[in-house]
Amino acid sequence: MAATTADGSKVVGGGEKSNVDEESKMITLFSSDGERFEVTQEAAAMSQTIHHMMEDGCVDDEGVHLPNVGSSILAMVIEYCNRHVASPDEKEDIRSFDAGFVNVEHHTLFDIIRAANYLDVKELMDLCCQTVADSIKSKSVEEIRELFGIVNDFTPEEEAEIRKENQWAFE
Amino acid sequence: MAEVANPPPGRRAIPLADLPGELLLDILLRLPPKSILRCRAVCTAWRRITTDRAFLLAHHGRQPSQRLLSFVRDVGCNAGCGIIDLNLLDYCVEAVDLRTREFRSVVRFTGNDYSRFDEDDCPFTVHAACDGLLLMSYYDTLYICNPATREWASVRPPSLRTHKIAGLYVHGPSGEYRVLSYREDRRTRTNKFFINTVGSKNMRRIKFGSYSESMRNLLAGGSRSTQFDRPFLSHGKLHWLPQSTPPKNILVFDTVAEEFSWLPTPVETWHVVSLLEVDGTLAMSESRVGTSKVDLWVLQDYKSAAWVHKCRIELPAADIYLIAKHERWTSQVVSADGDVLVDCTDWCTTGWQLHYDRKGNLLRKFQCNPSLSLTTHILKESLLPHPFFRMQQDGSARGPPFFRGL
Repeated sequence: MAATTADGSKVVGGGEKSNVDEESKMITLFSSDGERFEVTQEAAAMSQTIHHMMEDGCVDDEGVHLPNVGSSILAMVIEYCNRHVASPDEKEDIRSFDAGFVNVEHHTLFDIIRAANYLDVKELMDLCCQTVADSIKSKSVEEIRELFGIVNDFTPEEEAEIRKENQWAFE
Repeated sequence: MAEVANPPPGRRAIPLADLPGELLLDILLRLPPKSILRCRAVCTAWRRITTDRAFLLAHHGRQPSQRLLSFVRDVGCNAGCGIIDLNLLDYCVEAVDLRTREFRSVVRFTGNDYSRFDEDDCPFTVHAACDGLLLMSYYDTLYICNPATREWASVRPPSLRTHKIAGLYVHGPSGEYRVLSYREDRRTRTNKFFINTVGSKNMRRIKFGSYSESMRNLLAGGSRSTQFDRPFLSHGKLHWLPQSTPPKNILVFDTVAEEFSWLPTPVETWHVVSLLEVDGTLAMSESRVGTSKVDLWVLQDYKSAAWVHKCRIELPAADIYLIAKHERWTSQVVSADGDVLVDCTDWCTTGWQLHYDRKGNLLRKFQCNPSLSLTTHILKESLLPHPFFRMQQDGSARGPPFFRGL
Protein backbone atom coordinates (compact mmCIF):
# COMPACT_ATOMS: atom_id res chain seq x y z
CA MET A 1 0.00 0.00 0.00
CA ALA A 2 1.26 3.50 -0.77
CA ALA A 3 1.23 6.50 1.52
CA THR A 4 2.35 10.06 1.09
CA THR A 5 4.67 11.53 3.69
CA ALA A 6 4.74 15.11 4.88
CA ASP A 7 7.26 16.21 2.26
CA GLY A 8 5.17 14.76 -0.52
CA SER A 9 7.36 11.81 -1.44
CA LYS A 10 5.68 8.44 -1.78
CA VAL A 11 6.44 5.65 0.60
CA VAL A 12 5.50 2.15 -0.41
CA GLY A 13 5.37 -1.00 1.70
CA GLY A 14 8.43 -2.19 3.57
CA GLY A 15 11.21 -2.58 1.09
CA GLU A 16 11.20 0.70 -0.74
CA LYS A 17 11.67 3.32 1.93
CA SER A 18 14.74 5.49 1.64
CA ASN A 19 15.85 4.75 5.18
CA VAL A 20 15.78 1.02 4.60
CA ASP A 21 18.95 -0.41 3.13
CA GLU A 22 17.58 -3.01 0.72
CA GLU A 23 20.65 -5.20 0.71
CA SER A 24 20.73 -5.81 4.47
CA LYS A 25 17.11 -4.81 5.13
CA MET A 26 17.83 -2.57 8.10
CA ILE A 27 15.43 -0.33 9.92
CA THR A 28 16.12 2.64 12.18
CA LEU A 29 14.62 2.93 15.62
CA PHE A 30 14.65 6.09 17.75
CA SER A 31 14.43 5.90 21.52
CA SER A 32 12.55 8.46 23.60
CA ASP A 33 15.76 10.37 24.27
CA GLY A 34 16.58 10.59 20.58
CA GLU A 35 19.22 7.90 20.27
CA ARG A 36 19.35 6.06 16.98
CA PHE A 37 19.52 2.26 16.60
CA GLU A 38 19.96 0.29 13.41
CA VAL A 39 18.40 -3.16 13.43
CA THR A 40 17.61 -5.78 10.85
CA GLN A 41 13.99 -5.93 9.82
CA GLU A 42 13.91 -9.51 10.99
CA ALA A 43 14.92 -8.60 14.53
CA ALA A 44 12.61 -5.59 14.56
CA ALA A 45 9.74 -7.80 13.46
CA MET A 46 9.95 -9.68 16.76
CA SER A 47 8.11 -6.63 18.05
CA GLN A 48 4.56 -7.08 16.82
CA THR A 49 4.05 -3.34 17.23
CA ILE A 50 6.90 -2.53 14.82
CA HIS A 51 5.98 -5.47 12.60
CA HIS A 52 2.47 -4.10 12.10
CA MET A 53 3.86 -0.64 11.49
CA MET A 54 6.12 -2.00 8.77
CA GLU A 55 3.30 -3.99 7.19
CA ASP A 56 0.93 -1.07 7.23
CA GLY A 57 3.51 1.20 5.64
CA CYS A 58 3.57 3.51 8.63
CA VAL A 59 7.34 3.65 8.82
CA ASP A 60 8.48 6.97 7.40
CA ASP A 61 11.76 8.07 5.88
CA GLU A 62 13.47 8.50 9.19
CA GLY A 63 12.49 5.28 10.91
CA VAL A 64 10.36 4.34 13.86
CA HIS A 65 10.05 6.69 16.81
CA LEU A 66 9.48 5.00 20.13
CA PRO A 67 8.58 7.76 22.57
CA ASN A 68 7.84 5.25 25.32
CA VAL A 69 11.20 3.49 25.42
CA GLY A 70 14.45 4.94 26.73
CA SER A 71 17.76 4.21 25.02
CA SER A 72 19.32 1.88 27.59
CA ILE A 73 16.20 -0.29 27.72
CA LEU A 74 15.77 -0.22 23.95
CA ALA A 75 19.37 -1.34 23.57
CA MET A 76 18.64 -4.35 25.76
CA VAL A 77 15.47 -5.26 23.91
CA ILE A 78 17.35 -5.04 20.62
CA GLU A 79 20.11 -7.25 22.00
CA TYR A 80 17.45 -9.82 22.97
CA CYS A 81 15.81 -9.76 19.55
CA ASN A 82 19.12 -9.96 17.70
CA ARG A 83 20.16 -12.98 19.73
CA HIS A 84 16.85 -14.76 19.24
CA VAL A 85 16.68 -14.34 15.46
CA ALA A 86 20.34 -15.23 15.06
CA SER A 87 20.16 -18.86 16.13
CA PRO A 88 16.61 -19.75 17.20
CA ASP A 89 17.33 -23.47 17.22
CA GLU A 90 20.23 -23.61 19.64
CA LYS A 91 18.07 -24.17 22.69
CA GLU A 92 20.86 -24.59 25.24
CA ASP A 93 22.68 -21.40 24.17
CA ILE A 94 19.50 -19.40 24.12
CA ARG A 95 18.56 -20.66 27.56
CA SER A 96 21.84 -19.53 29.09
CA PHE A 97 21.62 -16.22 27.23
CA ASP A 98 18.12 -15.68 28.62
CA ALA A 99 19.25 -16.54 32.14
CA GLY A 100 22.04 -13.98 31.93
CA PHE A 101 19.75 -11.44 30.28
CA VAL A 102 17.28 -11.34 33.17
CA ASN A 103 19.99 -11.27 35.78
CA VAL A 104 19.54 -7.54 36.28
CA GLU A 105 18.21 -5.27 38.98
CA HIS A 106 14.49 -5.47 39.51
CA HIS A 107 13.66 -1.95 38.42
CA THR A 108 15.49 -2.61 35.15
CA LEU A 109 13.53 -5.81 34.73
CA PHE A 110 10.28 -3.93 35.24
CA ASP A 111 11.34 -1.34 32.67
CA ILE A 112 12.05 -4.14 30.20
CA ILE A 113 8.61 -5.63 30.90
CA ARG A 114 6.94 -2.32 30.15
CA ALA A 115 8.97 -1.86 26.99
CA ALA A 116 8.33 -5.43 25.86
CA ASN A 117 4.61 -4.90 26.50
CA TYR A 118 4.54 -1.67 24.49
CA LEU A 119 6.59 -3.23 21.70
CA ASP A 120 4.62 -6.47 21.99
CA VAL A 121 7.56 -8.89 22.04
CA LYS A 122 5.78 -11.94 23.39
CA GLU A 123 8.81 -14.14 24.12
CA LEU A 124 10.54 -11.38 26.05
CA MET A 125 7.34 -10.69 28.03
CA ASP A 126 7.07 -14.38 28.89
CA LEU A 127 10.69 -14.55 29.98
CA CYS A 128 10.56 -11.45 32.18
CA CYS A 129 7.16 -12.10 33.73
CA GLN A 130 8.22 -15.64 34.57
CA THR A 131 11.42 -14.28 36.13
CA VAL A 132 9.45 -11.88 38.32
CA ALA A 133 7.02 -14.68 39.24
CA ASP A 134 9.92 -16.96 40.17
CA SER A 135 11.38 -14.32 42.45
CA ILE A 136 8.02 -13.81 44.17
CA LYS A 137 7.78 -17.52 44.97
CA SER A 138 10.61 -17.36 47.45
CA LYS A 139 9.67 -14.03 49.05
CA SER A 140 7.83 -13.21 52.22
CA VAL A 141 4.90 -10.79 52.17
CA GLU A 142 7.12 -7.91 53.33
CA GLU A 143 9.69 -8.66 50.68
CA ILE A 144 7.01 -8.73 47.99
CA ARG A 145 5.77 -5.32 49.10
CA GLU A 146 9.29 -3.94 48.95
CA LEU A 147 9.92 -5.41 45.52
CA PHE A 148 6.84 -3.79 44.04
CA GLY A 149 6.90 -0.62 46.09
CA ILE A 150 3.50 -1.44 47.55
CA VAL A 151 2.15 0.19 50.68
CA ASN A 152 0.35 -2.12 53.08
CA ASP A 153 -3.20 -0.81 53.36
CA PHE A 154 -4.58 -3.52 55.63
CA THR A 155 -5.38 -2.86 59.26
CA PRO A 156 -3.35 -5.11 61.57
CA GLU A 157 -6.53 -7.06 62.34
CA GLU A 158 -7.34 -7.58 58.68
CA GLU A 159 -3.85 -8.78 57.91
CA ALA A 160 -3.83 -11.14 60.88
CA GLU A 161 -7.14 -12.61 59.71
CA ILE A 162 -5.80 -13.28 56.22
CA ARG A 163 -2.65 -14.89 57.55
CA LYS A 164 -4.69 -17.06 59.87
CA GLU A 165 -6.84 -18.34 57.01
CA ASN A 166 -3.92 -20.22 55.55
CA GLN A 167 -1.24 -20.09 58.20
CA TRP A 168 0.88 -22.77 56.61
CA ALA A 169 1.30 -20.71 53.42
CA PHE A 170 3.14 -18.02 55.34
CA GLU A 171 5.72 -20.21 56.96
CA MET B 1 1.48 4.18 29.22
CA ALA B 2 3.88 5.38 31.89
CA GLU B 3 7.14 6.67 30.50
CA VAL B 4 10.16 4.51 30.95
CA ALA B 5 12.81 7.04 30.00
CA ASN B 6 16.12 6.61 31.73
CA PRO B 7 15.98 8.12 35.22
CA PRO B 8 18.72 10.53 36.16
CA PRO B 9 21.57 8.73 37.89
CA GLY B 10 20.89 8.01 41.55
CA ARG B 11 17.10 7.94 41.20
CA ARG B 12 15.20 4.64 41.14
CA ALA B 13 12.74 4.00 38.38
CA ILE B 14 8.98 4.15 38.92
CA PRO B 15 7.98 1.39 41.27
CA LEU B 16 6.03 -1.52 39.92
CA ALA B 17 2.95 -0.43 41.83
CA ASP B 18 2.15 1.50 38.66
CA LEU B 19 2.36 -1.59 36.52
CA PRO B 20 -0.65 -1.91 34.22
CA GLY B 21 -3.27 -4.36 35.47
CA GLU B 22 -2.83 -6.87 32.70
CA LEU B 23 0.91 -7.20 33.32
CA LEU B 24 0.40 -7.76 37.03
CA LEU B 25 -2.19 -10.41 36.17
CA ASP B 26 0.24 -12.11 33.81
CA ILE B 27 2.80 -12.34 36.62
CA LEU B 28 0.34 -13.48 39.29
CA LEU B 29 -1.17 -16.18 37.08
CA ARG B 30 2.24 -17.83 36.91
CA LEU B 31 2.50 -18.33 40.66
CA PRO B 32 1.85 -21.66 42.35
CA PRO B 33 -1.21 -21.85 44.66
CA LYS B 34 0.80 -21.39 47.86
CA SER B 35 2.27 -18.10 46.60
CA ILE B 36 -1.16 -16.85 45.58
CA LEU B 37 -2.38 -17.41 49.15
CA ARG B 38 0.55 -15.41 50.38
CA CYS B 39 -0.13 -12.59 47.90
CA ARG B 40 -3.54 -12.10 49.46
CA ALA B 41 -1.82 -10.48 52.44
CA VAL B 42 0.23 -7.99 50.41
CA CYS B 43 -2.40 -5.26 50.03
CA THR B 44 -6.14 -4.85 49.47
CA ALA B 45 -5.77 -4.55 45.69
CA TRP B 46 -3.84 -7.82 45.47
CA ARG B 47 -6.36 -9.50 47.75
CA ARG B 48 -9.14 -8.38 45.43
CA ILE B 49 -7.32 -9.67 42.36
CA THR B 50 -6.36 -13.03 43.87
CA THR B 51 -9.83 -13.79 45.21
CA ASP B 52 -11.64 -12.83 42.03
CA ARG B 53 -13.40 -15.87 40.61
CA ALA B 54 -12.36 -15.25 37.00
CA PHE B 55 -8.74 -14.99 38.11
CA LEU B 56 -8.97 -18.23 40.09
CA LEU B 57 -10.54 -20.02 37.13
CA ALA B 58 -7.78 -18.83 34.82
CA HIS B 59 -5.19 -19.80 37.42
CA HIS B 60 -6.66 -23.30 37.74
CA GLY B 61 -6.54 -23.66 33.97
CA ARG B 62 -2.82 -23.02 34.04
CA GLN B 63 -1.96 -25.61 36.64
CA PRO B 64 -0.24 -28.77 35.42
CA SER B 65 -2.13 -32.06 35.54
CA GLN B 66 -0.21 -34.15 38.02
CA ARG B 67 -0.40 -37.89 38.53
CA LEU B 68 -0.72 -38.96 42.13
CA LEU B 69 1.52 -41.56 43.70
CA SER B 70 0.52 -43.14 46.96
CA PHE B 71 2.81 -45.06 49.32
CA VAL B 72 3.62 -45.76 52.95
CA ARG B 73 6.87 -45.58 54.86
CA ASP B 74 7.76 -47.36 58.05
CA VAL B 75 8.30 -45.05 60.96
CA GLY B 76 10.74 -46.31 63.50
CA CYS B 77 13.14 -44.73 65.89
CA ASN B 78 16.80 -45.29 66.44
CA ALA B 79 17.44 -46.69 69.86
CA GLY B 80 20.83 -47.86 71.08
CA CYS B 81 20.18 -51.43 70.02
CA GLY B 82 18.90 -50.63 66.56
CA ILE B 83 15.71 -49.49 64.92
CA ILE B 84 12.56 -49.94 66.92
CA ASP B 85 9.45 -50.50 64.91
CA LEU B 86 6.79 -48.21 66.30
CA ASN B 87 3.97 -49.85 64.35
CA LEU B 88 3.42 -46.52 62.75
CA LEU B 89 3.43 -45.62 59.13
CA ASP B 90 3.89 -42.41 57.20
CA TYR B 91 1.06 -42.26 54.72
CA CYS B 92 2.07 -40.22 51.72
CA VAL B 93 0.55 -39.02 48.52
CA GLU B 94 2.81 -37.19 46.12
CA ALA B 95 2.02 -35.35 42.94
CA VAL B 96 4.34 -35.83 40.00
CA ASP B 97 4.77 -32.95 37.61
CA LEU B 98 6.10 -34.76 34.58
CA ARG B 99 7.33 -31.64 32.85
CA THR B 100 9.53 -30.42 35.67
CA ARG B 101 10.01 -33.96 37.00
CA GLU B 102 9.31 -32.69 40.47
CA PHE B 103 7.61 -34.58 43.24
CA ARG B 104 5.58 -32.66 45.72
CA SER B 105 3.99 -33.99 48.89
CA VAL B 106 0.28 -33.42 48.80
CA VAL B 107 -0.78 -35.58 51.72
CA ARG B 108 1.39 -36.78 54.55
CA PHE B 109 0.59 -37.99 58.01
CA THR B 110 1.56 -40.64 60.51
CA GLY B 111 -0.99 -43.32 61.24
CA ASN B 112 -1.33 -46.87 62.41
CA ASP B 113 0.39 -49.73 60.70
CA TYR B 114 -1.68 -52.41 59.01
CA SER B 115 -1.15 -55.86 57.58
CA ARG B 116 0.71 -55.01 54.43
CA PHE B 117 -0.22 -58.24 52.72
CA ASP B 118 -3.90 -57.44 52.73
CA GLU B 119 -4.42 -54.28 50.73
CA ASP B 120 -8.02 -54.00 51.89
CA ASP B 121 -6.74 -53.49 55.40
CA CYS B 122 -5.14 -50.17 54.58
CA PRO B 123 -6.97 -47.48 56.53
CA PHE B 124 -6.12 -44.70 54.09
CA THR B 125 -7.46 -44.50 50.56
CA VAL B 126 -7.51 -41.91 47.82
CA HIS B 127 -10.78 -42.75 46.12
CA ALA B 128 -11.08 -40.11 43.44
CA ALA B 129 -9.92 -36.74 42.19
CA CYS B 130 -11.73 -34.00 40.31
CA ASP B 131 -10.88 -30.35 39.61
CA GLY B 132 -8.22 -30.12 42.27
CA LEU B 133 -10.39 -31.87 44.87
CA LEU B 134 -9.51 -35.23 46.40
CA LEU B 135 -11.98 -37.69 47.85
CA MET B 136 -10.08 -39.57 50.56
CA SER B 137 -10.90 -41.67 53.57
CA TYR B 138 -9.18 -42.62 56.78
CA TYR B 139 -10.74 -45.65 58.39
CA ASP B 140 -14.47 -45.20 57.91
CA THR B 141 -14.69 -41.48 57.44
CA LEU B 142 -14.91 -40.04 53.96
CA TYR B 143 -13.59 -36.55 53.27
CA ILE B 144 -13.39 -34.20 50.36
CA CYS B 145 -10.26 -32.05 50.46
CA ASN B 146 -8.51 -29.35 48.52
CA PRO B 147 -4.77 -29.90 49.06
CA ALA B 148 -3.94 -26.46 47.66
CA THR B 149 -5.86 -24.72 50.44
CA ARG B 150 -5.97 -27.62 52.94
CA GLU B 151 -9.71 -27.16 53.22
CA TRP B 152 -11.72 -30.25 54.06
CA ALA B 153 -15.27 -31.39 54.60
CA SER B 154 -16.57 -34.76 55.69
CA VAL B 155 -18.80 -36.49 53.18
CA ARG B 156 -21.65 -38.60 54.50
CA PRO B 157 -23.66 -40.22 53.00
CA PRO B 158 -22.37 -42.56 51.67
CA SER B 159 -21.26 -44.55 54.66
CA LEU B 160 -18.06 -46.44 54.03
CA ARG B 161 -19.29 -49.23 56.24
CA THR B 162 -21.86 -50.22 53.66
CA HIS B 163 -20.88 -48.51 50.44
CA LYS B 164 -17.89 -48.48 48.16
CA ILE B 165 -16.83 -45.43 46.20
CA ALA B 166 -16.87 -45.56 42.43
CA GLY B 167 -16.03 -41.97 41.56
CA LEU B 168 -16.23 -38.21 42.11
CA TYR B 169 -17.33 -35.85 39.37
CA VAL B 170 -18.75 -32.43 38.70
CA HIS B 171 -22.24 -32.50 37.24
CA GLY B 172 -21.99 -30.18 34.25
CA PRO B 173 -25.45 -28.59 34.18
CA SER B 174 -25.67 -27.85 37.92
CA GLY B 175 -22.01 -27.43 38.84
CA GLU B 176 -22.53 -29.75 41.82
CA TYR B 177 -19.83 -32.13 42.95
CA ARG B 178 -21.24 -35.61 43.24
CA VAL B 179 -20.08 -38.96 44.55
CA LEU B 180 -20.99 -42.22 42.83
CA SER B 181 -21.04 -45.21 45.15
CA TYR B 182 -22.46 -48.72 45.23
CA ARG B 183 -23.64 -51.27 47.74
CA GLU B 184 -23.88 -54.95 47.33
CA ASP B 185 -27.29 -56.33 48.13
CA ARG B 186 -26.50 -59.85 49.29
CA ARG B 187 -30.08 -60.95 49.29
CA THR B 188 -30.74 -60.20 45.65
CA ARG B 189 -27.09 -60.51 44.61
CA THR B 190 -27.17 -57.21 42.86
CA ASN B 191 -25.33 -53.98 43.21
CA LYS B 192 -27.19 -50.78 43.77
CA PHE B 193 -25.60 -47.55 42.66
CA PHE B 194 -26.12 -44.26 44.42
CA ILE B 195 -25.39 -40.62 43.81
CA ASN B 196 -24.85 -38.07 46.54
CA THR B 197 -24.18 -34.36 46.10
CA VAL B 198 -21.29 -33.24 48.28
CA GLY B 199 -22.64 -31.05 51.05
CA SER B 200 -26.10 -32.60 50.95
CA LYS B 201 -27.47 -35.33 53.19
CA ASN B 202 -29.62 -36.80 50.46
CA MET B 203 -28.50 -39.81 48.53
CA ARG B 204 -30.54 -41.26 45.73
CA ARG B 205 -30.42 -44.55 43.93
CA ILE B 206 -29.79 -44.73 40.20
CA LYS B 207 -32.62 -46.46 38.46
CA PHE B 208 -31.42 -48.88 35.84
CA GLY B 209 -32.97 -48.31 32.49
CA SER B 210 -33.36 -50.94 29.87
CA TYR B 211 -29.98 -52.54 30.22
CA SER B 212 -29.14 -55.80 28.51
CA GLU B 213 -28.75 -58.92 30.62
CA SER B 214 -24.99 -58.89 30.19
CA MET B 215 -24.82 -55.29 31.38
CA ARG B 216 -26.94 -56.14 34.42
CA ASN B 217 -24.69 -59.07 35.17
CA LEU B 218 -21.63 -56.93 34.85
CA LEU B 219 -22.98 -54.28 37.21
CA ALA B 220 -24.13 -57.00 39.62
CA GLY B 221 -20.58 -58.28 39.74
CA GLY B 222 -19.47 -55.09 41.47
CA SER B 223 -15.77 -54.89 42.18
CA ARG B 224 -15.34 -58.53 41.24
CA SER B 225 -16.02 -57.67 37.62
CA THR B 226 -14.93 -54.04 37.37
CA GLN B 227 -12.08 -52.02 38.85
CA PHE B 228 -14.40 -49.52 40.51
CA ASP B 229 -11.61 -48.44 42.84
CA ARG B 230 -9.70 -46.94 39.92
CA PRO B 231 -12.07 -44.52 38.23
CA PHE B 232 -10.89 -42.32 35.41
CA LEU B 233 -12.82 -39.12 34.81
CA SER B 234 -12.79 -37.55 31.39
CA HIS B 235 -15.28 -35.35 29.59
CA GLY B 236 -18.04 -35.72 32.13
CA LYS B 237 -17.83 -39.51 32.02
CA LEU B 238 -16.42 -41.96 34.50
CA HIS B 239 -14.50 -44.93 33.13
CA TRP B 240 -13.39 -48.18 34.72
CA LEU B 241 -11.40 -51.09 33.32
CA PRO B 242 -12.70 -54.61 33.86
CA GLN B 243 -10.97 -57.02 36.21
CA SER B 244 -10.51 -59.52 33.41
CA THR B 245 -7.53 -59.13 31.12
CA PRO B 246 -7.05 -58.31 28.35
CA PRO B 247 -9.86 -55.77 28.72
CA LYS B 248 -12.43 -56.14 25.98
CA ASN B 249 -14.69 -53.33 27.14
CA ILE B 250 -14.39 -50.25 29.30
CA LEU B 251 -17.38 -49.52 31.55
CA VAL B 252 -18.55 -45.92 31.15
CA PHE B 253 -20.92 -43.84 33.25
CA ASP B 254 -22.40 -40.74 31.65
CA THR B 255 -22.78 -38.34 34.56
CA VAL B 256 -25.44 -36.22 32.90
CA ALA B 257 -27.66 -38.97 31.51
CA GLU B 258 -26.77 -41.13 34.54
CA GLU B 259 -26.41 -44.19 32.37
CA PHE B 260 -23.88 -46.97 32.14
CA SER B 261 -22.59 -48.18 28.79
CA TRP B 262 -19.79 -50.17 27.24
CA LEU B 263 -16.88 -48.84 25.29
CA PRO B 264 -15.06 -51.53 23.32
CA THR B 265 -11.29 -51.25 23.39
CA PRO B 266 -9.17 -51.43 20.24
CA VAL B 267 -8.90 -54.96 18.95
CA GLU B 268 -6.24 -57.14 20.54
CA THR B 269 -5.23 -55.00 23.48
CA TRP B 270 -2.57 -56.44 25.72
CA HIS B 271 -2.68 -56.91 29.46
CA VAL B 272 -1.11 -53.77 30.79
CA VAL B 273 -3.73 -51.14 30.07
CA SER B 274 -4.32 -47.75 31.58
CA LEU B 275 -6.38 -44.70 30.73
CA LEU B 276 -5.29 -41.12 30.36
CA GLU B 277 -6.34 -37.95 28.62
CA VAL B 278 -4.59 -36.67 25.51
CA ASP B 279 -5.59 -33.39 23.87
CA GLY B 280 -8.85 -33.35 25.77
CA THR B 281 -9.98 -36.83 24.76
CA LEU B 282 -9.86 -40.26 26.32
CA ALA B 283 -6.74 -42.23 25.49
CA MET B 284 -5.45 -45.65 26.36
CA SER B 285 -1.95 -46.95 26.91
CA GLU B 286 -1.33 -50.64 26.37
CA SER B 287 1.68 -52.90 26.51
CA ARG B 288 2.80 -56.39 27.42
CA VAL B 289 4.62 -57.22 30.61
CA GLY B 290 8.37 -57.12 30.20
CA THR B 291 8.46 -55.82 26.66
CA SER B 292 9.90 -52.75 25.02
CA LYS B 293 6.84 -51.41 23.22
CA VAL B 294 4.05 -49.23 24.53
CA ASP B 295 1.16 -48.18 22.32
CA LEU B 296 -0.98 -45.11 22.73
CA TRP B 297 -4.54 -45.08 21.37
CA VAL B 298 -6.82 -42.08 21.26
CA LEU B 299 -10.61 -42.31 21.19
CA GLN B 300 -12.14 -40.43 18.29
CA ASP B 301 -15.79 -41.06 18.99
CA TYR B 302 -17.70 -42.75 21.82
CA LYS B 303 -20.68 -43.87 19.76
CA SER B 304 -18.70 -45.67 17.11
CA ALA B 305 -15.90 -46.61 19.52
CA ALA B 306 -13.41 -45.45 16.92
CA TRP B 307 -9.90 -45.55 18.34
CA VAL B 308 -6.90 -44.20 16.50
CA HIS B 309 -3.41 -45.50 17.10
CA LYS B 310 -1.48 -42.37 17.97
CA CYS B 311 2.02 -43.68 18.47
CA ARG B 312 4.23 -46.52 19.57
CA ILE B 313 7.01 -45.80 22.02
CA GLU B 314 10.08 -48.00 22.00
CA LEU B 315 11.92 -48.48 25.25
CA PRO B 316 15.40 -49.93 25.67
CA ALA B 317 14.41 -53.34 27.05
CA ALA B 318 17.99 -54.43 27.65
CA ASP B 319 18.66 -51.37 29.81
CA ILE B 320 15.48 -51.89 31.77
CA TYR B 321 16.40 -55.51 32.40
CA LEU B 322 19.76 -54.43 33.79
CA ILE B 323 18.06 -52.16 36.29
CA ALA B 324 15.06 -54.31 37.14
CA LYS B 325 16.91 -57.64 37.21
CA HIS B 326 13.74 -59.37 36.12
CA GLU B 327 11.36 -59.38 33.17
CA ARG B 328 8.14 -58.50 34.90
CA TRP B 329 8.13 -54.76 34.48
CA THR B 330 4.99 -52.94 33.34
CA SER B 331 4.99 -49.78 31.25
CA GLN B 332 2.36 -47.15 30.80
CA VAL B 333 2.09 -43.84 29.02
CA VAL B 334 1.16 -41.23 31.59
CA SER B 335 0.98 -37.97 29.71
CA ALA B 336 -0.02 -36.42 26.41
CA ASP B 337 3.68 -35.79 25.70
CA GLY B 338 4.36 -39.49 25.72
CA ASP B 339 6.02 -39.79 29.12
CA VAL B 340 6.27 -43.44 30.07
CA LEU B 341 6.56 -44.80 33.58
CA VAL B 342 8.08 -48.26 33.84
CA ASP B 343 7.30 -50.01 37.08
CA CYS B 344 10.04 -52.45 38.01
CA THR B 345 8.82 -53.11 41.52
CA ASP B 346 8.11 -56.75 41.80
CA TRP B 347 6.08 -57.41 44.89
CA CYS B 348 8.39 -57.95 47.83
CA THR B 349 11.54 -56.33 46.56
CA THR B 350 12.41 -52.67 46.69
CA GLY B 351 12.08 -51.70 43.12
CA TRP B 352 12.65 -48.95 40.65
CA GLN B 353 10.30 -46.69 38.80
CA LEU B 354 11.77 -45.40 35.54
CA HIS B 355 10.59 -42.33 33.71
CA TYR B 356 11.19 -42.30 29.96
CA ASP B 357 10.32 -39.70 27.35
CA ARG B 358 8.55 -40.57 24.13
CA LYS B 359 11.84 -41.12 22.35
CA GLY B 360 12.90 -43.75 24.83
CA ASN B 361 15.40 -41.61 26.75
CA LEU B 362 15.66 -42.29 30.46
CA LEU B 363 14.84 -39.04 32.23
CA ARG B 364 14.84 -40.16 35.79
CA LYS B 365 14.74 -43.21 37.97
CA PHE B 366 13.62 -43.41 41.52
CA GLN B 367 13.66 -46.15 44.04
CA CYS B 368 10.57 -46.84 46.03
CA ASN B 369 9.14 -49.34 48.39
CA PRO B 370 6.76 -51.99 47.13
CA SER B 371 3.76 -50.16 48.52
CA LEU B 372 4.13 -47.45 45.89
CA SER B 373 1.12 -47.26 43.69
CA LEU B 374 0.63 -44.99 40.73
CA THR B 375 -3.01 -44.06 41.11
CA THR B 376 -5.31 -43.21 38.23
CA HIS B 377 -6.04 -39.88 39.86
CA ILE B 378 -5.00 -36.58 38.34
CA LEU B 379 -4.56 -33.49 40.48
CA LYS B 380 -4.92 -30.11 38.82
CA GLU B 381 -4.73 -27.65 41.67
CA SER B 382 -7.39 -25.04 42.19
CA LEU B 383 -8.03 -22.20 44.62
CA LEU B 384 -11.70 -21.86 43.73
CA PRO B 385 -13.88 -21.69 46.83
CA HIS B 386 -16.59 -24.28 47.36
CA PRO B 387 -19.72 -23.88 49.49
CA PHE B 388 -19.34 -27.28 51.11
CA PHE B 389 -16.02 -26.26 52.68
CA ARG B 390 -17.46 -23.18 54.25
CA MET B 391 -20.20 -25.27 55.83
CA GLN B 392 -17.59 -27.21 57.76
CA GLN B 393 -16.98 -24.42 60.25
CA ASP B 394 -17.92 -26.47 63.30
CA GLY B 395 -14.91 -26.09 65.54
CA SER B 396 -15.62 -29.26 67.43
CA ALA B 397 -15.41 -31.50 64.40
CA ARG B 398 -11.95 -32.97 64.28
CA GLY B 399 -10.47 -32.67 60.87
CA PRO B 400 -8.71 -35.42 58.95
CA PRO B 401 -5.00 -35.99 59.59
CA PHE B 402 -4.05 -35.70 55.92
CA PHE B 403 -1.97 -32.52 56.05
CA ARG B 404 -0.40 -32.84 59.49
CA GLY B 405 2.90 -34.16 58.28
CA LEU B 406 3.45 -31.55 55.61
